[in-house]
Amino acid sequence: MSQYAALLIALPLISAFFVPVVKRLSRRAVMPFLVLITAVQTGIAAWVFNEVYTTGKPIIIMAGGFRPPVGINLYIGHFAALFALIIALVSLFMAAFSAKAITVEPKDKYAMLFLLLMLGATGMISTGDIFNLFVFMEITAISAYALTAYNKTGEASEAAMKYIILGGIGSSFFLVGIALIYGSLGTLNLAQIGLLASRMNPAVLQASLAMLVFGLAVEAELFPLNAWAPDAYQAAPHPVTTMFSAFVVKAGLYAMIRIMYLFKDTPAFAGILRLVLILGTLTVVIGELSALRQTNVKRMFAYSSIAQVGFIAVGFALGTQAGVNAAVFHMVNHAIVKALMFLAAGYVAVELGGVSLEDFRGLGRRMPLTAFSITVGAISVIGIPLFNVF
Amino acid sequence: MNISVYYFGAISLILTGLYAVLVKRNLLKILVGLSIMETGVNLLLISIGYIAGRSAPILSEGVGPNKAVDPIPQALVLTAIVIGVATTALALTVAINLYETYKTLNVEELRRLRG
Amino acid sequence: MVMKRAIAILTLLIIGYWMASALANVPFGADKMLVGQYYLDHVKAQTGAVNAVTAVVVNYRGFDTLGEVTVLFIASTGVAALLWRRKRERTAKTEGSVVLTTGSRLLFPFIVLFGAYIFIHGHLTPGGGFPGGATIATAFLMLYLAFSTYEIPHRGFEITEGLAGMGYVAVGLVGLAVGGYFLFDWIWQSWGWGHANIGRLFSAGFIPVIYTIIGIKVGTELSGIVDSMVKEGGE
Repeated sequence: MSQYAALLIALPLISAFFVPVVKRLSRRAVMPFLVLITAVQTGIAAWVFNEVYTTGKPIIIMAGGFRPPVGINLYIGHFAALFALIIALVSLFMAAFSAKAITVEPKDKYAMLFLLLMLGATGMISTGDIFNLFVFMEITAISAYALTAYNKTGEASEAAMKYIILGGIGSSFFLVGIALIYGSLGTLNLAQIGLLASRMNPAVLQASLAMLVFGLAVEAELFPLNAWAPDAYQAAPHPVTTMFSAFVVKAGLYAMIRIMYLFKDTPAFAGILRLVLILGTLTVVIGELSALRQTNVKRMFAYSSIAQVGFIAVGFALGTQAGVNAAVFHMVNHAIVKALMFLAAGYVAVELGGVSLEDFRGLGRRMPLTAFSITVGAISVIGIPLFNVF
Repeated sequence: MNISVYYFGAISLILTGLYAVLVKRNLLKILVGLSIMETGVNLLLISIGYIAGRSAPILSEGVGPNKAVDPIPQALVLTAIVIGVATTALALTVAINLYETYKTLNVEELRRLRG
Repeated sequence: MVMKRAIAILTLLIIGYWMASALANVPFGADKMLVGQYYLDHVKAQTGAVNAVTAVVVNYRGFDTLGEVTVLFIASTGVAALLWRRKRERTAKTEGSVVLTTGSRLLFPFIVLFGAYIFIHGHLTPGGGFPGGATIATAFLMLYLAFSTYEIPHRGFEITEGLAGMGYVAVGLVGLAVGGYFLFDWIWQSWGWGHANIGRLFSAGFIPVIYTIIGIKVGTELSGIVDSMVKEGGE
């Protein structure tokens, strides 16, 4: 019965392939179809979440019926179940928002790319095999490239180009890391790699770990590989920016941390922790400083988002149990808060047509509900007690 | 340190591609460099799977399970090639759009025009 | 300018040296198979295919292949979305020469046949769905090059692509219903067809079925990408 959780992956996939048929039947039915599918996905994610938390045991889906390490398995533990639920919920809200906010044709292809972005992030956090992680990472990345350039303005195209080049380099290095690990150990299953990790030659271990982290750092937006992020956040359609900041970057960060912690008992671990610590701190500092100078609201939020992700990375890189708990808590809160803020900013932009800071003046009088949401979000981010980011 | 000629070739391809991405100014040359880099990585993956003295993993007469090369890297590379093609197709499309908007493919010019 | 190149070359040499020293510890040509040996020993019994790589791609690691098909689909959709204009048409002005047009008309059915051969025999010879589909797309590309007004039937191809993709996931879901696991090989393991035929065409469970679906999908997708890129349009 629990194998039916594979529907978490199969459902968005089959619906994305079904969209051309829907378009043929009725052009206007595409967006409501999108909302319907995300609603069903939220239902499945809630069921999975319930299963994992009431029985206390993770769900292991074996694709093809072969036991791991012969087959590929999906491992849905406590964190993955929670995160899958968050992804589905955020996607549901964004799907509803897209019905109003997306005016650039062709909308049916937007719906397909949206579903596949959601699928990629869900797959990235629930997989148990390193090459499968690479495939889902590429699904997420390529959907993100296409969605960033979706508005077809010059600014969007340039942001997408930067993202594609950096992402391409990152994924090539990730593959080199996989090659080194496979060459030394002969298996691709994450759990088995963790078991056999101490047998690896230290030089090979260090090089492959560095390559893997480098590849994932592009997706997880750590300095200096996040040069693509502010441009991409600014130029992408509003629901898409929200999705990037709420779960795409978190999925990348989670995957990176998971791989790093596999090698916990090896000598290279301390070195890699220190590296991520330094990069995370740099991300925070540079992100916050750059955010101060911005006049475009979306760009400012983008820098703030990048800086917060740096905080999460630092929390994980401390290497202690308390650090990991804090980082996970922050991840969940950040997803909620940033979704709120970007949604509000996007709604204002759609209604009033502009995203520079001057346009936001006097908002309290014109759109009080939206102004209130932005205020709540901003207070949370600053870290005043009682609000979650504290 | 002696490494096999196949590894050396793969690493040279990767470095050549990376050089093109970092230094060249024409957008199409940068994309070609990215493609070369991905080819180098695929070559590296395949050479990792080679076992000396054995032949292709198709188990017909004469080739038993002990005389075949590792099938896994070949499967990985099949997937990686397709993913590389998809990335290149999308990158070229974005380049087409950039050219139609700004009429130039020089990255320095693009940076200047954007401000 | 020279500085930039010098720094780039220096960085690259450092990265190269570091990679090479790591690879020196992964001996070339040594037997390091762990899971691979299990695959080779059991492939005939568990999947019925003789081509071990195909069995790995479709059966043991079928989930990765599903992801790969999705990636191509995203690329095709993305290209169509980014190059979408309100009215699009071909702007080629010179018709191909007589040799080109006659030759491509003659060759087209053979190329398509060869592509189909590649993916139907995926479990017996090297190849499979992806090269087969690419060959079929090349046939269509040849028609584009030869005739200046040729267009593929766009709507039809788009729907075929969607249906083929759905077919793949549907095969996996049938596996979930019949055998209890997603992507379970229900033809080989539950129904037991083709056990007596190993090494010939009608064996290997659902591998020919999936490869046919993939071949059709990849062929129509790549043709769609070519079509999007060739046309230019007004706004």
